[in-house]
Amino acid sequence: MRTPLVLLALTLAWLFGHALAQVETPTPGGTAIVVLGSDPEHLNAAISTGYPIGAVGASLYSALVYLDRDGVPRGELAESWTVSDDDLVYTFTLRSATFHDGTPVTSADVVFTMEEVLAPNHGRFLNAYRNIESITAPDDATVVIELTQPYAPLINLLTVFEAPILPKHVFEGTDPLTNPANEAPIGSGPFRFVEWVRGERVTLERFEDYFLDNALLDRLIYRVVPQDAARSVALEVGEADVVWGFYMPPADLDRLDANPNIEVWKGLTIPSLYFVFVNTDNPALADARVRQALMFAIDREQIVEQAQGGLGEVAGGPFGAGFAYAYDEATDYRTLYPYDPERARELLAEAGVGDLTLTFVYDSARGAFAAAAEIMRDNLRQVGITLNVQPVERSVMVERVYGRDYDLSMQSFTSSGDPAIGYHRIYLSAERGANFVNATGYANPEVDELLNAAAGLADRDARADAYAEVMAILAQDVPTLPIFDELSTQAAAANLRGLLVRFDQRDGLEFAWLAR
Amino acid sequence: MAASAPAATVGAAAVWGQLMRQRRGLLGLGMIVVLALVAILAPWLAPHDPFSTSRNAFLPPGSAGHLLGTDHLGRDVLSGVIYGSRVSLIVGLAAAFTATVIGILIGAVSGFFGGLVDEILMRITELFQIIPRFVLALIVVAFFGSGLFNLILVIGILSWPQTARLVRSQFLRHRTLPYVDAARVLGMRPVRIIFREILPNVLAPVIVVASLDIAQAILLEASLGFFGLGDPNLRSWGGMLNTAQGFVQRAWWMSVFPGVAISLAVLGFNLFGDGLNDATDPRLRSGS
Repeated sequence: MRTPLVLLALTLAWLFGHALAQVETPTPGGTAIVVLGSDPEHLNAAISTGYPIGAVGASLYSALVYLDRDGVPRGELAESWTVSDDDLVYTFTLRSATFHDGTPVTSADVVFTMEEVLAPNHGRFLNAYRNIESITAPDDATVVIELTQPYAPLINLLTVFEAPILPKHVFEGTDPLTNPANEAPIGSGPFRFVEWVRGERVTLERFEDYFLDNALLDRLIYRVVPQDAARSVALEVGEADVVWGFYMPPADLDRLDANPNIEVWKGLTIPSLYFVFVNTDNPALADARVRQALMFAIDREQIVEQAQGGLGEVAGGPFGAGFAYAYDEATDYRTLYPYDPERARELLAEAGVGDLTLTFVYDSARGAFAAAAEIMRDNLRQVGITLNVQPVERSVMVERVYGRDYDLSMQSFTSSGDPAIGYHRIYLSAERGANFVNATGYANPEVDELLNAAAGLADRDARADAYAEVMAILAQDVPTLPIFDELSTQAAAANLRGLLVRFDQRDGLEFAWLAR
Repeated sequence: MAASAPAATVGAAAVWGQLMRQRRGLLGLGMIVVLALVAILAPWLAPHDPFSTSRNAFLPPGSAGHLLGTDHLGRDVLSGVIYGSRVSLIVGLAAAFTATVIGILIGAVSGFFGGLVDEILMRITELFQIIPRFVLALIVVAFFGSGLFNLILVIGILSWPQTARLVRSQFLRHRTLPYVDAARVLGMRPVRIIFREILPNVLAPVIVVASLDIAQAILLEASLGFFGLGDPNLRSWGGMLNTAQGFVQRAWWMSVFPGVAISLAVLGFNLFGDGLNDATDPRLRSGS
């Protein structure tokens, strides 16, 4: 009787122990090393949109809001906020927080940073600032932003990447571009600055008085590894713990994926849309049927698989498939325009287009464009269209495309976290003439009106309705040929947990912890 | 007048006979003939269309239907190599021809007239010789586009100095020879003396240089292609190497086969040029 009981007890103990091991609890402590591809020029994230500065800044500073994994804005320094019925007045209530030097964060710091530092120096915040009438601080814990016109992307432009909050007492009365604090920064984020060895590493440590849950890691080191191949190797030999997609040599992904000590992740974060501009100045391309035929003729799946190495998702619409509210299943291009050369030939015949030769202009520095061009050359040949491929320098590409001297041109536009910032410019007629905007010549007053309305709708459901209407029109007109949304990647040490908790993979490292 | 030409001039039949007796030159000639045949018969030799992509990317050599494998877009490497021979051969021949024509004109004028004309033309020639050819070609092609015609023109224009110096030295020697004096006395115009009297007598070494120029032009075109400055609408060996750069570890066949093709083509024209040189050199000729 005794032996079975002991056995049972042992079995139970084993099962229980095993179950415990399965549910890991985050434990504080340890150091994680994150790879940067280049040394930041300085560490003031409020005066630069540079990628490495934003990376270190995300841990050093805090902002009114952050974007969660799904891109939904949540309060960070702001405990809550309200929007007036006319969508013009945003009122933020601040949490009680302190800077790394012990002084409290107040509404005065927010107003000062936005007006004196961000507006003149930060490219992306300027997008929001153009729509801002005033920023005021009625009391220490309240910030009121008044707009000149409804502007839905506002909240998304108040994150640590667009609007990190600086201490007013350090920057007031100085030139923010040359302030010594740019080298030894003081923020209110989860990590505080320790040292910066130029060209080698930036070291941060946990800030014990962080206003939200304290970071788990003791130390966070941003290590500069300028050479592509050396970054993967650093990960493999354990000299680094995280390499983001921005710095990842795509050719090494498969190798890293096969390594049991490394976790490779691929997914959509802040999507970039890869699409083809169609110049409607060309009489043949002015016919919507011809543009639809191009859509049927191009094998976008092959392009994703071969030109992009699988790091993409075939675009579902004119704004990609990255934003739930700017995507409508009813007008999904993947079902509307499957790869169908036969249908393309029919449409071309209907339009009365015979042998067509089109110039295809792209930035010669972009390898994925070159490969996509070769696939499109082959695709279009099947439907009787000859592609004259013209890779040119970036500056020449800009001149030719925005000077409308092309037939087709492949481009990639980043969404910047909101279609109104990143993608509206592709379709708005008012945007024609400038660089990096509508280069197709497409002008549809109905589309203009709907897009401008959508940009002002703070309510996402109302915005989704406006986009559904726009997409129904664009799906027929196809002024651009959306090809794919770019996927982000990340490779990290398998024992580093709690990554990818925010919209931008650089954000939220206070949740990272080392499993032992 | 040809009867009064110096004995150093070698008849074509004699050169041919000499060449046939040389193993190296003959080997080079054989390689050129094969290259030319491949280029001419490309549509019948290539198993696939060189631009045809497929979902079968990175197939290794020996795969069914793809003897030399496929590239990252599923294009057949063998067909690419076969069609690439056309680009190399056309650029090589046309650029060398351009260089030879320019070289002859400048060299002949310089050597025949001498004096200030010679002085100026030779300084220009030296200028072209000291400029790093590849770097200049890179810049010019980057500026004016990399169509086939541009490539030929650029490579041709950058390759004439050697021919010019050679022709000049020959003309300097010939212009004092009796048959040229005779032509002058007969009242012939300079243009006629240059092209009808002297040129035929100095052509043999020019042809040697031209055949070496072809090899150089093929190499230069491939180098430009490797740097992404080939004609983007043609499949060329250099262009294939350019795309292969990113896949050296994953798909060695994408770079090895076009690389071997470039080496063989350059070797062929070099061997032929060397053989031709030996065959036309009177000191090496048997029985002279």
